Amino acid sequence: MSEMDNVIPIGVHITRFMNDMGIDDFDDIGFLYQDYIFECIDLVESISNMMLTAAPAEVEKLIHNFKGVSANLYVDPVYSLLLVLDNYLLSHSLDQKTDQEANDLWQEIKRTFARACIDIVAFFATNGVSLELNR
Amino acid sequence: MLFTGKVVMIVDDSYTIRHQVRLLLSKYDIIVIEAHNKTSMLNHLLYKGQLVDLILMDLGLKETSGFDLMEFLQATPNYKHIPIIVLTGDATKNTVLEAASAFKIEHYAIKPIDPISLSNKVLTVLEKQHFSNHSNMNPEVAERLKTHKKEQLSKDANKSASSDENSKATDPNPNHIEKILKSTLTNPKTEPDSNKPQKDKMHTNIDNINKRLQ
Repeated sequence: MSEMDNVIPIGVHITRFMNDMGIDDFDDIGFLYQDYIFECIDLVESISNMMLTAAPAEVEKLIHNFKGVSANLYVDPVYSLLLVLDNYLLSHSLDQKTDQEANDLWQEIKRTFARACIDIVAFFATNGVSLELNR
Repeated sequence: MLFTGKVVMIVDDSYTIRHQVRLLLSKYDIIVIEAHNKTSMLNHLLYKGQLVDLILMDLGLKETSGFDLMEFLQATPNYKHIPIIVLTGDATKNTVLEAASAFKIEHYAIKPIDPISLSNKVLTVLEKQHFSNHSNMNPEVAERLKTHKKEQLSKDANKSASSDENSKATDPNPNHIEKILKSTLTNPKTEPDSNKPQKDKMHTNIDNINKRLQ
């Protein structure tokens, strides 16, 4: 089975977001989601790097930001998992590489985020707006 | 229009959130200035020789915290009268109370941003400020402007209320998404079947993103 066969929409509520924003221009909203994709890819890279080094406070801050921006743009599946990780980090002191639970959760978040990006790009493609996954 | 040309500054270290606020307030012809830290905030507090009309301040900034920035603003005579709406992802009572009591903050918005609620707060503060600056305004005109604001907000709220039905009608279904992605990946130059403007070439290379995220 190819990777494409595994693509299932995972609940990024872009239409609801557009309605709540009161904006029906797909270009305007598409550019906003483009920023989301780029900013969060950078956040994911930074968090991944920091999880291998000793900077728990920084990791927590970046995860908090990632969670916030995902919630703002109704990327619910990513937000839900980040909420769990955020709460976990607040109640545990992260023991770097040995903390298997946090790392497993982080891997799941990365997979979910990648699928969300694909859904977002597909949504806007159906509406005539091309987004990029790489700068 | 009442809000045309009003200038709002958003101080937040996420450029996506700054973009969202700019987009949200552009509906009301409000100019949004963006800042991500203390330096950029200070560089842009004056817009065309006038102080900004309102600041939306995120408390959880990476460098100097929002609390520190508010402290600085309130200690500076030229800036202390600029109204501030606090944005916070920390919805605990203490955080909000701390901001409210220490900095006389009248409005705050909890993240994630509720677009309708935030618009309402921004318009309310700008309206209050406008009327305090124009206390001699004809009451009839003032009433008309207030009605106009209510109509705008009500229009947004109605639009949002019907969003669930619209979501079902317009969000892509799994098969449709799969088809689009397959066709895009096998033929990246294919134009989408739409009259809408095509801004960039389509590059949905799933391998690339997965490599970056692994």
